[in-house]
Amino acid sequence: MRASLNSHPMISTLLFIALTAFLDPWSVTEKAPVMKEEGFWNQRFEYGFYFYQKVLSPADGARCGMYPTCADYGYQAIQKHGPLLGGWMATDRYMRDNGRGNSFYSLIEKFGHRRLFDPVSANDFWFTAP
Amino acid sequence: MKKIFFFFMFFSFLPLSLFSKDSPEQILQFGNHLYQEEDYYRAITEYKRFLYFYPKHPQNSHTEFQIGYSYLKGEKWEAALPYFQKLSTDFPHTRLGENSFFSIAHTHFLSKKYKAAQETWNEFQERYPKSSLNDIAWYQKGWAYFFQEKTKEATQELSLIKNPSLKNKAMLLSTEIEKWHTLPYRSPFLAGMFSAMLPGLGQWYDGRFWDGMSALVVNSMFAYGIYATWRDEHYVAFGIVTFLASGFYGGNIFSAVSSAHKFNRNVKESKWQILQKKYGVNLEWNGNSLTIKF
Repeated sequence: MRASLNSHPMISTLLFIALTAFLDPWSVTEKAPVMKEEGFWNQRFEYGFYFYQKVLSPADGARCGMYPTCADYGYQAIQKHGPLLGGWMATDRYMRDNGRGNSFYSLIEKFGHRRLFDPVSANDFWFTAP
Repeated sequence: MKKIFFFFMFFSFLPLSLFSKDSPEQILQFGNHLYQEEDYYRAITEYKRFLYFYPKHPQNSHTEFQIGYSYLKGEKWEAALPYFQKLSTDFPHTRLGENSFFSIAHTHFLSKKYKAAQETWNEFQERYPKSSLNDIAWYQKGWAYFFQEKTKEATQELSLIKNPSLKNKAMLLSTEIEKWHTLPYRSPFLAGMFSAMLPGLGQWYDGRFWDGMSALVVNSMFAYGIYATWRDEHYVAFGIVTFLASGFYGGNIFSAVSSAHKFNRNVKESKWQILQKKYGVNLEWNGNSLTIKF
């Protein structure tokens, strides 16, 4: 296949044009940052979160109507603001995920469902620098 | 045989027609057409093509400005700035240089770097004291202060405008800015206090009925859990429930305070949107100079 493409530069050019036609010309691909946390409690927190996401959460299925999901939101909030403030943000989110506050959020299509978009930045803007 | 000959001729001339060089006017016209269609990315490609094929054309510096302005329109602030900076340094005493310097400030303003925008406009006014864009600089500085909620400074800047038609707009905007503190805000402190007294009350104060309801239900259940475990002398369970309850109680207060901030932000942003539609300035590049549109 490779040999045949190389021998037909026209075909490979057309293929390239066809592929790039679907890309946003302004877009820039960025690698997702990899989080590496050290320390005893950070490791325990990582294990706990991993256990919840891989073992506990699949048992009762996807229930969260928001994006990021409540567990992921809590994880991000605790990573960003520590266990106390991050924990309060997580419990705040659990109480707000009641399926009745659609008018306060924008919608986002994720995992095949429409979800309410509520990132950490939408809730900590008033005490963190932009 | 004839067919084969024409077939051969067609394909031998095809590459020439594909890669032939257009005239400078044609490239610029096509670039401008794409710019008008708001296809800024492809317009930039055409302008760059023009610069590549005709590096000594008299329209080059204007085309460079057009590239910068296309980036600006495409909200690529960091890409736009070098073009304006280069032109303002290369042609400091021309209208193009003046417009480029003004556009640096305008780019900062649009990218919400209000302090940098104000500083650049100050420098602009020092450098070009007789520029026709000076009044716009006052006006935009007023807006920049307004976006930082420095209402006194905003009205002060707006009062310095001399152009009669712009002055009228500025006065109307000033009266709106003076009403800024009378908008229906919610106090985050009060909201937090309310939710500390009764879980959910702060959220109701912020207009979030169901958030308040769920906070009340969850915290009531935890309160009952604390009471029941203590009453039945399950002290380990009591400790665990109290620990979890304190997290949800704190979260309830956080929720109320955060909701008040979100409420206030929505009030401000919707008001800014309305005022920008009414009194905002749109700068347009007509090929030779910046023009203002209200």
